[in-house]
Amino acid sequence: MQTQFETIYREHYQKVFGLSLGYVNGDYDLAADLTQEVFVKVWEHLKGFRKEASVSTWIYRITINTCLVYHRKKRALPLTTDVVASEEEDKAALEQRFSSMYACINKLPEIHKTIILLELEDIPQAEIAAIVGISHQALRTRLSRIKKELSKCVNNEKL
Amino acid sequence: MKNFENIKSQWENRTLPTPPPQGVDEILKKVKNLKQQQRYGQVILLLTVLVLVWFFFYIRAYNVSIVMLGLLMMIGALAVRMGIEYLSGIKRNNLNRSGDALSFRKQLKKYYRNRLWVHYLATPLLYALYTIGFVLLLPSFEESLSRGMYLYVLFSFIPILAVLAWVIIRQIKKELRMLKYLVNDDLQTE
Repeated sequence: MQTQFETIYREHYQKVFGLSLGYVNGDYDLAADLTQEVFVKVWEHLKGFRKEASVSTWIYRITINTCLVYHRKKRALPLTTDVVASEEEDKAALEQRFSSMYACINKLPEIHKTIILLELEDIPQAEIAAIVGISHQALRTRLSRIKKELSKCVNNEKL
Repeated sequence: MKNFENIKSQWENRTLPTPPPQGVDEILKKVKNLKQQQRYGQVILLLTVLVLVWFFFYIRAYNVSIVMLGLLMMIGALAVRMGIEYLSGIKRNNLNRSGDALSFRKQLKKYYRNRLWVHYLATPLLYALYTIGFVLLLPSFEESLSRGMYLYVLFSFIPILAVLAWVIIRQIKKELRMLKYLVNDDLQTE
């Protein structure tokens, strides 16, 4: 079981980290903690994994559900900058952009946040629908609305 | 950044760390620690009940009905509380995290709604039973202990009760916040 777990860990670590990062306003330390907690749950559930869904769908479901419980436990911190002097301006500008993206994402209701984060991670829509538990058609309708809301917000308009 | 595609292309530029080389070992260590912590928690609660039961026989409480009643109330309150928290812990751990997000939310809401019975009914009742049990023991303490020891037992019980209340209220507030968040979030989504 450990070998299987190691493979899952290596293959999905970055996606899980990326999703977690979206839930904690881009705080890397919290995202690392959260990612670890997700893989603890993956390990605990691995015995019961019956391959009714693909491994990735299964992992993302655990990630999303763990994030829902976890991010209420720990308060997300504002995005911090940790920049080298020579790249300071570029990095600061980039981080400012990410900061507003994270802030806008975190203003969305939980399910909308889940949908948009999965979309941003480039997960196929059919898989997003299976992770969230809605039909593909319903997802497409919602997604288009959420994309508009997010774009508006990032362009400094209220949600 | 005028539209979503721009946002997405920016998003893809995030630097994400690679899996730490010791990551799997750390996770397995954490799993082991969590199991140990659960066991320690259970052992501590069990020891508390055992000490009270031992005390019950040590002072031959069964010969004095009021002392027996007091001790039984304290032991009973602790034992029931332990049982409730233990079962709730199992129930919470058994929530299906690998199910879809909407089903998990439903399960989570149901879990916290059921916990309201514990918070608003069982907990205050058990807390009252525990305190009354102690009060019933006071005359016997006054009779069998020195004045100094009696006062020590009496006044040390007050901070114990206060700390216990603080811990319980904190836990209840945390769970109520979660339930409120889930309900409000559902309203926002609709």
